[in-house]
Amino acid sequence: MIQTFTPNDLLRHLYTEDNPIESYQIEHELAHNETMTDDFNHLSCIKSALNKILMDPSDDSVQYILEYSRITA
Amino acid sequence: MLYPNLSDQELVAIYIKGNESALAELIKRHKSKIFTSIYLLVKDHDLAEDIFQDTFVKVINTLRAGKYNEEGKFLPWVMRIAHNLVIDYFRKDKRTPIINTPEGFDIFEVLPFYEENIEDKMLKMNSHSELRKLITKLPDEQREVLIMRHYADLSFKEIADITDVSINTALGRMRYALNNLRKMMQVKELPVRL
Repeated sequence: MIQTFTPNDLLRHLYTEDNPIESYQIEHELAHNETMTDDFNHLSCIKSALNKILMDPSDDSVQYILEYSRITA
Repeated sequence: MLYPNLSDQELVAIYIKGNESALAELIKRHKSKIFTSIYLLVKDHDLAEDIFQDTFVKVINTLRAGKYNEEGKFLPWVMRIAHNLVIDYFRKDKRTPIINTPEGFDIFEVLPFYEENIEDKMLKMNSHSELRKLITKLPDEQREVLIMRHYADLSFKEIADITDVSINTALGRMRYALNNLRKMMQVKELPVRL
């Protein structure tokens, strides 16, 4: 039986929201389908880039919150 | 004293009992994702700082009032509070940039109007800040799903429930967001592997 996967299936796999059976099937397909592998790699690269642009609030903001918590305890 | 091995839920329980350092650990653990999400929604650093503070003031008050019951889902809960505060801000400010876009939005229709003023050029310091700017250029619906899924750790099902759309629509918006980001990065000659 030929298993077909939609772009949404690929996205759910990227964010590990598929179940173990679906995940196994997609991994199997990725190992044999070059086009699908390219698509998945593109999505993975963007996902990875999104992890690298995190910003931190200022130390003042964090201190304000901790101070608020302390004085209102 | 910090508690890096405790779960969020355990830290919340300890904090409610009066241990202030548990809150410090929760903030340390999640501040980047929460702050980045707020910044990408409001597109203003100072405003993001204010809303970040207001978010945790509300978190503290809610925890102390015993109204927190989101077992094991601390970050999504905080993100929903932050998201609501952002919406409240734009409602009060009446500056909400409502943009209704078709699902088949083509980013190339927008790119020619991409503003390149002096301030923009000054802010173009590196690839990371450039990518943040590109995210803020996404249509609201796509940017919202991207932030909720990637930074707030909400599932597509949870996002669908919050935004009152089907799971397939939420997935589709995320897919368009990622594809549009990739296209914009190519146009701006940003390396995909930052």
